[in-house]
Amino acid sequence: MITIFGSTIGAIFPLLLTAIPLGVGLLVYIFRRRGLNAPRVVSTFFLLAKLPQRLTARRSFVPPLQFWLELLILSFLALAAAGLFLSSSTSRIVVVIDSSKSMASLSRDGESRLQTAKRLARLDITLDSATSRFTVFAAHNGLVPISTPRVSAPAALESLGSLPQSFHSDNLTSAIAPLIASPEYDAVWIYTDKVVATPSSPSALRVVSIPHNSENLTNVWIRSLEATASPNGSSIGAEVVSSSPAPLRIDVSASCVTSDSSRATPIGPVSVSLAPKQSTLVILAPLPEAWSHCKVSASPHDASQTDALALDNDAWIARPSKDDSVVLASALSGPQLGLNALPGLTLRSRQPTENLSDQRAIYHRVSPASIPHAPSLVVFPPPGALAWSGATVAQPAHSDSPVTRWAESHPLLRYVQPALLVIPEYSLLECPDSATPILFSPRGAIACAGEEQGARYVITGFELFPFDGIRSATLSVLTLNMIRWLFDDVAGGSRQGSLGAATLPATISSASMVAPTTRELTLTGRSVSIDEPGVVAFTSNSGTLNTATLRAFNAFSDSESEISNVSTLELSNVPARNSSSKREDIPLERLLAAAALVLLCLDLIRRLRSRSVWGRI
Amino acid sequence: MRLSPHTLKLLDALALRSRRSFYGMRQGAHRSQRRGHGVEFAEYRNYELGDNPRAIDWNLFSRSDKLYVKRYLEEENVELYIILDGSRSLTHTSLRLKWDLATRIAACASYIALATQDPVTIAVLGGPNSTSYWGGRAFAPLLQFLNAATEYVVSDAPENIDVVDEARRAATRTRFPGICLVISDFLFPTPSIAATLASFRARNMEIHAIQVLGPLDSTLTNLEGSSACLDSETGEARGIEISGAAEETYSRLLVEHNEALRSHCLSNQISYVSTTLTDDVQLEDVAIDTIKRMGLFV
Repeated sequence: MITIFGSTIGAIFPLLLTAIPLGVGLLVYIFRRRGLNAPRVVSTFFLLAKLPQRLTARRSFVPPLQFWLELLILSFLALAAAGLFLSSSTSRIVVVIDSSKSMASLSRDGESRLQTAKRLARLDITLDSATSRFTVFAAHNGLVPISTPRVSAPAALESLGSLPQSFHSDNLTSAIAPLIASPEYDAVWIYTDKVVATPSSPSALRVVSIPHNSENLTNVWIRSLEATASPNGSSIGAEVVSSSPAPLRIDVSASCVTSDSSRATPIGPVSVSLAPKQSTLVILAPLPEAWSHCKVSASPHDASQTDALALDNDAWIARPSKDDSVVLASALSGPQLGLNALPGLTLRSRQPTENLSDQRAIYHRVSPASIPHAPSLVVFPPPGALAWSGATVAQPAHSDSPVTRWAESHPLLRYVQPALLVIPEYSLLECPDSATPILFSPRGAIACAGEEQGARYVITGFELFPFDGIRSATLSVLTLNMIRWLFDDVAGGSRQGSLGAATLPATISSASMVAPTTRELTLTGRSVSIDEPGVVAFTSNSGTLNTATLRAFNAFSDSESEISNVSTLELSNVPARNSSSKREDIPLERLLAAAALVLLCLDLIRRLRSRSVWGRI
Repeated sequence: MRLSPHTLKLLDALALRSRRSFYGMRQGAHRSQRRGHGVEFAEYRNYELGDNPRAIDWNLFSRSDKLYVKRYLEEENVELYIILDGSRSLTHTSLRLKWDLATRIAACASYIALATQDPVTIAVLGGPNSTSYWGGRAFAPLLQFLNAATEYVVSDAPENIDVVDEARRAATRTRFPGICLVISDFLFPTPSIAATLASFRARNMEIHAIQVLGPLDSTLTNLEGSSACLDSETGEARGIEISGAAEETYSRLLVEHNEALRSHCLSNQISYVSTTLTDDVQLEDVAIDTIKRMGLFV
């Protein structure tokens, strides 16, 4: 077996390959015999004597075309007889480099985990460069191809250099699942900072866990941001966390840009002491009157204290738009529903012919006519179908405490104990495809929350109102969470989003990033991909005016920022690859025999064409 | 050598037609220079004593009161002479394709001539006893002679004969003027060719020159791969440089030689045909085609 240009060639009967040199010698002998010892008899030298003459002895062998043709035919036949085959033993290896945010954390020698992963991958690729073809992927929340499929080792090494660091969170387990299940690859090499949960992984799967010792490393990160508007002015609340095992003093500062000036206004810094693994809310105030967006930074107070992961030290927040009114679609008025008790919430009644699809609205015991393009709260809709796909409402049922199960991690249930909810009447909901059930009764979901075309919505199958914090505290907290989650600017929050593909309302015509850098974003249909934390301006062309809305995108992730935790990689159902069955050798005998036949035909045609044709003079 | 029934059937449709009239040996199908008892009127002659009175034209006598005798054209046979070049350039074992074609052309011509009772004489230049003759009126013995001559002359031993001298000797042994087919490759100098043909022309013969060229004569391509060439007649070995330029030169030389031969034949009222052989042709087909192209057999 020999490898030429990345292809491995073998022969079933390699001894027969000796026929080629023997054949060459035999052909040369035959051609010399033809020329020297058996001269061609010609009629007379009467005409030939006038041609250039040459010595017949000691003549160097200059093979004619026929010699080469016969040599090729002989070689092809010998190769075919030897059973030449093209071995597909070249391994098809997938190299997956975890490029999630945690891979940017630095070790004590200043090398990031991603750099370590690349270095180890380079080493492995170089060692297997002779017999393997590589496909390189970057993995964070999904797989991103870095190289073209099955490239050579040098191309794979080159592509590793262009592998970028991502701000995304990790979703490696589900991202690599298709690769592991795919029969198109012989081996999957994964370079990550995770460790394998099941230590005995098959040989086709190689997981290289980047060694890191983060016990003495400190990381400070911002867990969340929120802006609060009050008559006294606006402020930003930043929830910061430290991974240090000891109390750590940090500085939190902000840099706000106003709408009337491009110059940033610094806020702070505010120095606080963080308890180990405990989050602390830091208030940055006062904000400028006309602030449009701010960048909040957190760093250790002691300059000698190195922050291992710098990507999570900054976060962005954008000021909500001016129009903060919410349309109430209900038979009752806002005061009757107790909504006037909510500070900062500006309600207005629905006009008789008003289309609410582009309006932030609360639908009380009515269903929206079409899918809203703005945040909407649908409270206790009447039985029947809703506008969302797959959403239906069943007939009301009666029970005092129907909530038996809930989505605990959902932000709507923050500070809420659903088991304490008292709901005398409720309807079962068939949640829309784009929504997640958050509250369950024994018979099904009774509350859903989701996002459709860039607009959040909540549907409750029970009555939330009248809002009365004293009489029903749990329900009131749930209502406040919903109002905050939907109309965050109304409640004093800000418009924020997560990195990734954001679905936009139909009225958005363009999007551009305004911070940290200014560049246009490409809209793909009705979505835009945002891969970097920052502030994006969405331009809406509703009506005759173009209005821009700012929205901040951050990559908050405790799992990525908590670098001292060693997360595990779950690899289940790894199919075993049978090395003998997956590789089919490509026999070349027929091809070579056919080539010999073609050459033979060509030789015959050449001889026939060069022959004199019987003719008349 | 035998001719196939198909070839004989094709030959039956042909007849020997000479351009000139000759004195013949006996009654035949060809107009003779002799006056006699043919069917075609030739001339009147004054009656002389001894003339057959039945030849007197009595109608003319009644008008002119003189005795005239009517004379008619005689129809006699024509002697066909076939001169086969038996030099080694045709009879070498590796070149005998040319000889085989020459003997077939001779056989076909003889068959047509014998069908009209015309005698055939075949001379093989360089044959047994220097020059071989056969004169006969039957086809089977003629084939036997050709086979015997083939066995005699075909060899791979070099032998250089003087074709001009052999032709002169063959011409001196002809009895009557007739039609003479000279079958050769004519690959020798034009003056020698002229001398060869002049030997028979001096005998007042109607000459037809048939040139037979073999595969190695027409192109040098077939010599590719061989380092040396051996002259079939002299046995001399030479190395010939085979190349594209040499190929062109050889083709040009061959064309020039053939043109000189053609010019000589035209200027001396000798018909000339040339046939180039390949390895994969049916010799009898080539022979019939050559016979037809001569214009002698129609």
